[in-house]
Amino acid sequence: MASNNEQPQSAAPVRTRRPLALLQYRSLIVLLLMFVAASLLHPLFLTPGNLGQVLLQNSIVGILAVGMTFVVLTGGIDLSVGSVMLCSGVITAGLLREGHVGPVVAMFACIGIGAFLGLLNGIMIAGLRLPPFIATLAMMVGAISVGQLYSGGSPIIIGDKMPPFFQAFDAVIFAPPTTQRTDPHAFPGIPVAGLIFLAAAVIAWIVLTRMRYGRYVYALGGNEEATRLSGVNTRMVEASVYIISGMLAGVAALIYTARLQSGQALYGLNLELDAIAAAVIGGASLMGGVGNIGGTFIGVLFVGFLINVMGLRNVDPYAQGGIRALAIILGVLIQTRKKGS
Amino acid sequence: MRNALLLAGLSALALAGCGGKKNVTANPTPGAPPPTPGSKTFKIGYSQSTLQDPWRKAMNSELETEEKNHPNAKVLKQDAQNVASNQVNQVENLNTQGIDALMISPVESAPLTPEVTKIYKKGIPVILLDRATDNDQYTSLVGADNVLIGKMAGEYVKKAYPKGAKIIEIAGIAGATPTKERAKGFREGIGNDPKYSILASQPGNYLRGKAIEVFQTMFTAHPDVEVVYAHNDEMALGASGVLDKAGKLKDVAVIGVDGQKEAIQAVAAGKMAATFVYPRPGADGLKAALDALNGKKVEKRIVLPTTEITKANAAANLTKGF
Repeated sequence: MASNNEQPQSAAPVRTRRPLALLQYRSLIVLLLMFVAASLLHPLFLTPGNLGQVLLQNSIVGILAVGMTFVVLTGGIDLSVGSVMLCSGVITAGLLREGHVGPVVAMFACIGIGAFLGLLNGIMIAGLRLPPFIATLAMMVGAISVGQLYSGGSPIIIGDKMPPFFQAFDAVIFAPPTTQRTDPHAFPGIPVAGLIFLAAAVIAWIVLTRMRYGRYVYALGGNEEATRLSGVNTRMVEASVYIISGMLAGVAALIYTARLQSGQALYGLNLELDAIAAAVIGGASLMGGVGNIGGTFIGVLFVGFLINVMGLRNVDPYAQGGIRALAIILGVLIQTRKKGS
Repeated sequence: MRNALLLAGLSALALAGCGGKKNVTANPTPGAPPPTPGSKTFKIGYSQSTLQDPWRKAMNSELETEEKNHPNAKVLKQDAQNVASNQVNQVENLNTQGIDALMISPVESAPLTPEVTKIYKKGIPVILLDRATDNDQYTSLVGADNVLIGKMAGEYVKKAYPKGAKIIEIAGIAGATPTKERAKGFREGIGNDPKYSILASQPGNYLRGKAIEVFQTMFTAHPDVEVVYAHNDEMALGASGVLDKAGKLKDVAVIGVDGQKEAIQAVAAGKMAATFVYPRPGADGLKAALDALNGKKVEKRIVLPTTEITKANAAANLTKGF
């Protein structure tokens, strides 16, 4: 993106530890504010059962947001993550229903389809030089279309053909006995989907902060020209973040398919916007070069807590969008105030 | 200039081609039963809003089945792929081809109203399917009544829980007409009785994934729920899955709307309490069009009755699903 070149100074400071630590600190305050507010707004919010559910419900958008962070760090955007997830999910549902392949093959196919669609994004953006917004917008429309063609527009119902191995993506381990399962004060067990989200976040954090590749991602978003001149294959790096994003959309599709016991490609989930919002609330700059996985994780929980407490309090659906918009703006404002100082 | 002339020539040819086809389609296709002597063959234009929807696909196949009963009817089928401007063009083309009647399920009412009005004013019977246009310039509107379906669902709850019930509602897309009507009818059905309380209502956007999320949260806030009313079967199936995992399926009755095959199977298996079929106007729409063409009186509004599917009749109705 041309705009990256206008602020060449952002590449260097980002790699120093202090501003990153400050960012973490700021987003933590934002999250804590939300946490306290939500606890005051509904007595059931602060129960193990409910918090476990928040983690479970936000694992899909969280996994997408981790991938989105890689993309946003390079100054790009990936509007296709929701559609790619639905497309890989619907094809995987078909594979499971037909039973031609085992659950392990289906799992790798699901992640592979996501990664492949991400690769197409990467080719369009890094190879053909299409703006990321346009390329991934096309993929957003195209992937749904492929999913609909595959399924003929009807939901693909897996039903009894769902292998237990695959069902595990939506299971809860160490779950309490059935009688206690609806008691919000009891330990709810650990949702596998939440663990996958945590694992994705931790791996991404290691890659971005402890590996040379991570430095390239930051550098590319900070100053593409300087990065290229210092011998980094910027096109490869740029393409790779879309592959990562698509691959993680495939991982999210595993959970989504297991949760729904079926696959269907329909517009209207808007997961890409939730993922972008999480990254930005977490301190990522859409101009690239600034942001981190910890912040994204906090951003996911911030929005997750808000949606949860609005649901618990049965807030008028017409008002929910507005409240969410205000919270996002407030969250980002608190984040970005420091840039003025 | 040369190209423009060529283009004009080509389109003239294409138009001539269409004109030629007109005569061919007017004759019955070989193999079909011969038309009864004296009766004319009717050419009926049919514009479906989209076929990327299992309910509408079922509607088309039911129309095709009904068409076989009427050897004197030839239905020209179009799919607007959910784009209103496509549909306007398609209806214009059907009009140019010279149709005897028009059946249409509009993508959106406003953009289709002028074209439909124009055709109706030419004296061509217009049958609207499921969705209306913005004025009364049509012969008949054939379709289900969402308020009535919601009301039947409410009355079902009253019947099944005479002592009262605590209800969670999973609504459709906030603000959409079917959402408002299915909500309104349900409230009419349970009446003003304080024994029946809707504890919480949140939109699940007619999507199973979204419904699972909003239902989990509402269920956390109200674990004492006895009835879940979802505005469609996709969402009801989502709620049923959540309850099943929590081991609470036997304590909560899940009700859906639409009559999706998977939902009817769930009712048969005891995973849902009931679903209400949202009837498809394909066959009845064609009958109405033919009645109008044969000079019979056609009601301005034909409300198709819904079927209440419970465990008692689910097995017998499995084929009704889509």
